Amino acid sequence: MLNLIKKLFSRRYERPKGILLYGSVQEVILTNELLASHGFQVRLVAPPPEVRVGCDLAVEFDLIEQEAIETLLKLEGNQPQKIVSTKNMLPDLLKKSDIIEIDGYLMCKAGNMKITIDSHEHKIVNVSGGGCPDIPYVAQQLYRTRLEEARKPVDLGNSLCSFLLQIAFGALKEEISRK
Amino acid sequence: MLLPAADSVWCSQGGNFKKVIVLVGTVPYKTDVYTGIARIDEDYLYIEKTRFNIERGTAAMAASCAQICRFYGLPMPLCIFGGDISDGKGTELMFQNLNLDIAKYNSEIVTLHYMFPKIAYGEPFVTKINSLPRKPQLVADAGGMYLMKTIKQSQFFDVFTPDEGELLFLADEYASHPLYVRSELINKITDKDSLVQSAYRNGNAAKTIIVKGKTDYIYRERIRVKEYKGPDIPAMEAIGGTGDTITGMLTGLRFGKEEDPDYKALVINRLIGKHIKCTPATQIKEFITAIPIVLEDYERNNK
Repeated sequence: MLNLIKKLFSRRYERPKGILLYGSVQEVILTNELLASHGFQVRLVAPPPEVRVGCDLAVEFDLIEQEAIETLLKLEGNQPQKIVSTKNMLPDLLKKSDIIEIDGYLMCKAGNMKITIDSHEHKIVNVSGGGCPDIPYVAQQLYRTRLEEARKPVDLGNSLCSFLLQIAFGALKEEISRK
Repeated sequence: MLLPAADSVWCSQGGNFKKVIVLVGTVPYKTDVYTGIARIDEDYLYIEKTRFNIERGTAAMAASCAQICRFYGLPMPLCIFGGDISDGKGTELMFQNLNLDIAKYNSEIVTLHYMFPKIAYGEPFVTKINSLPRKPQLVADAGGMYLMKTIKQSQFFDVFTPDEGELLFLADEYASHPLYVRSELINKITDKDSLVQSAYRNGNAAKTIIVKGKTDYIYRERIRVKEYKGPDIPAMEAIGGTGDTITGMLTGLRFGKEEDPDYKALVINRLIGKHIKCTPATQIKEFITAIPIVLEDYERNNK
């Protein structure tokens, strides 16, 4: 009985994790997609403070799979700059985006980033928010293109602001395809 | 009309030089440093021979500041821009130049804008500012604000101008970027007071925080001193650069020692939105072009 109570109230066992660090957010996103497509249990996380450089993202994986992952990445010519272990820190914002209708336009917000299209032609009319230096460039490239034909923000920029913009961009695309 | 570069004497020449605004930020141009007195016409901002689109970002902020300076007959701002699309090299070059030259200018205000928030760039900047005989007013928006939070130097600054998403980031003591804000804070988005208090408590606030949103708020040393609600123009949230114009205008208005400069910048921004009948598709250039007309009306009505 005592053992059962102990078991019920003990902390759940967490499998040890590792993270892959790259020089750019773009590489991180591509690696995450690559590993996921090969069936690895991966996700995007914030790097721990001791390895953080101020504006970065990392791929978290099960440490038990490290060797297989390293082999695959070597084969693909996509080796990380560094591999370290970390705690679980899934960005909460990845789960949240809001779409608002304003005077015949649709605006989607994700964190500090907003993207707006006109409801009829789906042309991108404005990109707002963000403080990383690629955002003015990304916004310039997206302006006046149709959402369906526009390049992904993460293909144009490689900052975390571009990544947030990608979340808003994806949510807006989903919303349109539902209509 | 293009203003001549010789309009302002900003650098030390025989020890007698004017006070100057220094605007610092990245622009989506090739990797380089672009330094000089800003000049503007209806469509562009010029630094030396380079022409910058004023459609968004640092150039829009600088053009708004330049409009204020031109309107009040103040010396035009000095710009130190880094050409940086996304690799951070322009940010690095920009800070190298800034840190090397900042002591040469009699800077009254330094405003940091778009940039890569990397620790290695920010700490030498703070050290350099501390070494000046007189500390200039320091304003930060966008990447400049992220950088100061990252290096824990927010309190060293006089003004931060976050939007609601950025306020969440300042309020979250653990987030290294707005991407990493925690859910419990996201759910508190309507409680500005609590978020601002959290930012101050964790040392992630400048002396003044101006929160841009449906209602704009001004906080000084933890206290909400003012708010501005109308005219309510929802389209302004969608327009890229409506925060940049506020940062640029308040920098110019502070430099000109205008009464209540932060509040005035908020008011003028919304009056412009009303004046040009903006829609979510309006481009920020239209706002910047309208600054003198709206300012003239405002001054006439507030004499």
